[in-house]
Amino acid sequence: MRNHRWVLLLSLLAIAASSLLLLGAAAGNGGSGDLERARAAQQRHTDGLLANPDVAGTAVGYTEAGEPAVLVFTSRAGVGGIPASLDGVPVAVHVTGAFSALNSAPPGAAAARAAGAKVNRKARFDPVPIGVSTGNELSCSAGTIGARVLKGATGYALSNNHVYAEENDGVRGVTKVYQPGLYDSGCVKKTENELGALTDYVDIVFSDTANNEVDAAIAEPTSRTLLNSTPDDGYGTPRSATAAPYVGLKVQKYGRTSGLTKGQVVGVDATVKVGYGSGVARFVHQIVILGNKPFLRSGDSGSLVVTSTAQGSISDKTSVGLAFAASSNGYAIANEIDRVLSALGIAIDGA
Amino acid sequence: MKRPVDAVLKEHADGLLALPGVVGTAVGKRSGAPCIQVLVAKKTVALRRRIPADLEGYPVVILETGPLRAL
Repeated sequence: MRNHRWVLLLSLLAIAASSLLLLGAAAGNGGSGDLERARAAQQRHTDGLLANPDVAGTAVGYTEAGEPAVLVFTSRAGVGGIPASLDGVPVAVHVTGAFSALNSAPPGAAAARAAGAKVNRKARFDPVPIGVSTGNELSCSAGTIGARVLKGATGYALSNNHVYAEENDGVRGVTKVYQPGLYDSGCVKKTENELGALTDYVDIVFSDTANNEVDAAIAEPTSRTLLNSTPDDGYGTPRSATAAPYVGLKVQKYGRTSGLTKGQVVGVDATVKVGYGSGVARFVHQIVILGNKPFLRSGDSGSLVVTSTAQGSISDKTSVGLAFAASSNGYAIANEIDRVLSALGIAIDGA
Repeated sequence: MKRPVDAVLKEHADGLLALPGVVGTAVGKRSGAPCIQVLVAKKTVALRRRIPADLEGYPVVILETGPLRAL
């Protein structure tokens, strides 16, 4: 029980940290110098604040007016006993009830943990779920199978061009794809790990003035059955329906390296310059996502981004993006899924 | 009457992306209202001086994302 509360606190503190980033950005405030007094007050008073059972965490950030502040996260509205200021620094109270949904693991995950099961996403699977390791024969690397997609009546594995076609080097109908990716079999090409062949991809133009929209490829699995859902510790089956992203949309992904992670869309219609082995490529109409821990890590490329809860008219597990890049500060970049589907003439084969 | 934020960004994106250290632009929200985000490898004084605080009435927010790379 004690442990449980500690974990919750830690996660809320992580959320607090990401909110701080968002709020810091929102206030358009530059240096961190103006936050030093707030940080000192936060450090001095956090233990006392956390002694209140309704206080879930603290952080430094800004008030709505843009003043440096100590942020206090509460489990419910109307929590008493929180001072209006600490050492002269204003206190901004945030009711984080809405955030806690970000941390809730799906029933599958709880069940898997209860059973002591641990999914090794870098292993060979038969049949093959989505969200696990895959790659091509041209390089010792690994990415993620994002989804099962349909072109006509045939099912294909969807991932990135740089995962399946090695940044335009792959040959359609010829280049072999593996599950797991070669990086996860010690760079050894094992016949039993061959999944099928690269079917199609969208070329990436490597130029910082290009207008790339997607980093996408599909491969046909011929040696094993491809499922359309994640292992038990993931979100399950994505919906076939898609939705356009908007700022504030809560999303999740399940990928080879970091498994299930949750985040929020913080920017849309982004134009970004992304570094590849072949050089820099500019992408337009991208989605910017920030997680409460890194949303995307090396090897998660190709993960499908789906909604994590029902929001407005959008159901949960609705497909919104195909993740392919990230920054050192935890921002992830995804293609808009509708552009991926129309570029390749495919549909998500989901629920 | 303000132009839509995406139209404003479309016009200014190339100029912003030409600044050394800018890795992206996007439409975001600040205090519930649309804003323009500029993603930078590092938030330097020089960049903050060259990026306008406002474009046609939309606040410009600098996000220090770090360099972006394919994973």
